[in-house]
Amino acid sequence: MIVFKQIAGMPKYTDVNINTAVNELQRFLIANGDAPTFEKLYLLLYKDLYRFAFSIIKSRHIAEEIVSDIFVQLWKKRASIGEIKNLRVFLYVAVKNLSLTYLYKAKKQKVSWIEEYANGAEIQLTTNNSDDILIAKELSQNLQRAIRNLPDKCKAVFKLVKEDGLKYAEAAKVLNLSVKTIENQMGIALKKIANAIRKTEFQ
Amino acid sequence: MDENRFWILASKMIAGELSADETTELELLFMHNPDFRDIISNLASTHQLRPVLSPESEQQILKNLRTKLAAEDPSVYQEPVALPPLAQEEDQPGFWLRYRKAFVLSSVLALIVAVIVAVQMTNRVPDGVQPHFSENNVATKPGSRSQVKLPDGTNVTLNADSRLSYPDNFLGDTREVTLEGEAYFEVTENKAKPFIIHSKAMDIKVLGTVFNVKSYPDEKSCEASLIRGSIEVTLKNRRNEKIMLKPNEKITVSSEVEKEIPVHKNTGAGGVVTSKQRNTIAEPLISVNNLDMDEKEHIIREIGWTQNKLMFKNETLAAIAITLQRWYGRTVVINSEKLKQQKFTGNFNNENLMQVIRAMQVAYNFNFKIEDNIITIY
Repeated sequence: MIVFKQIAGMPKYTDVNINTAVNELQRFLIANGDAPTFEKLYLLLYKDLYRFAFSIIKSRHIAEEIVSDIFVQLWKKRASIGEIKNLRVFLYVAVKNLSLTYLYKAKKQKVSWIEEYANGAEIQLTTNNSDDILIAKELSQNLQRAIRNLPDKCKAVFKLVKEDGLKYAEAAKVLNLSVKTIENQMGIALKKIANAIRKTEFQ
Repeated sequence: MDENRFWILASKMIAGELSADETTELELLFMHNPDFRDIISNLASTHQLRPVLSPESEQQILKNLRTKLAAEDPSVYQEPVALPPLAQEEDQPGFWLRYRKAFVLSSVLALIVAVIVAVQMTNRVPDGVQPHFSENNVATKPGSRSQVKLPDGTNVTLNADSRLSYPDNFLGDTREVTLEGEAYFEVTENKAKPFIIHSKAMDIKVLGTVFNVKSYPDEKSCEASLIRGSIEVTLKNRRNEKIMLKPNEKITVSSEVEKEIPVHKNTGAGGVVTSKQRNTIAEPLISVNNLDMDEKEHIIREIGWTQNKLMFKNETLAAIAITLQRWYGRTVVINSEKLKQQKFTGNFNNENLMQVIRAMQVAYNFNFKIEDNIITIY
């Protein structure tokens, strides 16, 4: 059995179905437009959006600014929040766009943001099954290495789907790719990762 | 077997995107790829990372957002925090009701005092000071406001801690009043008799109009905000300059501006040394700006007080302390130079003093204590 070790000092993870939670908060916001609901939504999505922004621009401070700026904008436009079909994806795209503005300003030239994002913060998969925690630090490292060695586009897709838990259609919107491309890229990613892990297993 | 098909379906499995048909299809394909079964099912069972924020970082993150929202959108965003109750008498429900009684009472008292003063003024013959008409004084204490109808029908709302002097009747060519503090004027139109308000830094001449004047002796700046009509402003120390205001404009006169001026020093040995030194010289700084409309509440910030609203936009805590002192009639002291310079934006609507102070406490994390009716922030 291959299990991935929970890395010491990492925060706990919950099993919250994030999309259900976001939809519910969105419904509340449409009905009430109230600050407490808005802040719940902010806290629910903060870490994911922060990590996403950080991967692209690699500055803690700017990533924080970007996420809070996006939410300030959202608050101002909360009257029309009902028009947003998928709020979570909407926020990812907003964070992406604002991050790109910063990125281009900082680099003074067009750069591939997918490349920047793919090589930003490292993806860390874990399990919250406590029985599994003691096993296979080595394997976890192998997995991390396998992911690190993925081509950029592949890695970006894999990160969004596996780390952020976006659906294919959602990742496609954020990355501006077709769902077909997401499918193919995920296939390539898994093939490479599985082969890399199997190779280390037989060594 | 299509190898790509296997990996596409297997990756759909780890992403939780498999349909029922595809699950069956993948089962068949696994028979050709038995080696990968464990690896893939393990990858499928790894969890999405959904970090939970620690309470401390949650507070920090929320604080950042609230500060931004308050700065960007002060009218709309109200602190959602349920603040813990504090064992203070003002926190009891019904405080505002009692407070309102106190407000009415003190207004009545202020009027009685005004009448007494007026009567005394009438009976006394002032030495050489306009003996042909008697003067009325209306004053409000900190924590109270008052409405006055002048002899010409003009309505004046006096904010807390303010004084208005006006004659018994407007007999001359002009209607002249003197204001110390803040008042909202709705001047009855009379083109033949301009209405003139004398205040600390400026005189304001109007024909018939609605506007607000803020001129507290302990504040450095003096403002006149025009709602309707037109007003003509003359500065006290520049008699020949007149400034016309259009509706929705305000003029601000800062009485003191710190200015760096070169100072020439005679060294005594025949040489003159010129050095730059900070000197405060009385130089009024005048600016004309548009009034600040609060989009959500549809209230012009400058006259929010006439509707019981305390509105702060990017004001230093030092300035806010003065306003609170006037508004609530309680002494508010800030014991930290750093805190005094912090800026705060936010609106309060009928909140009591404790609620206001605690809302600011959330933003700046200060401590405060109440001793002998004096609130000290530190």
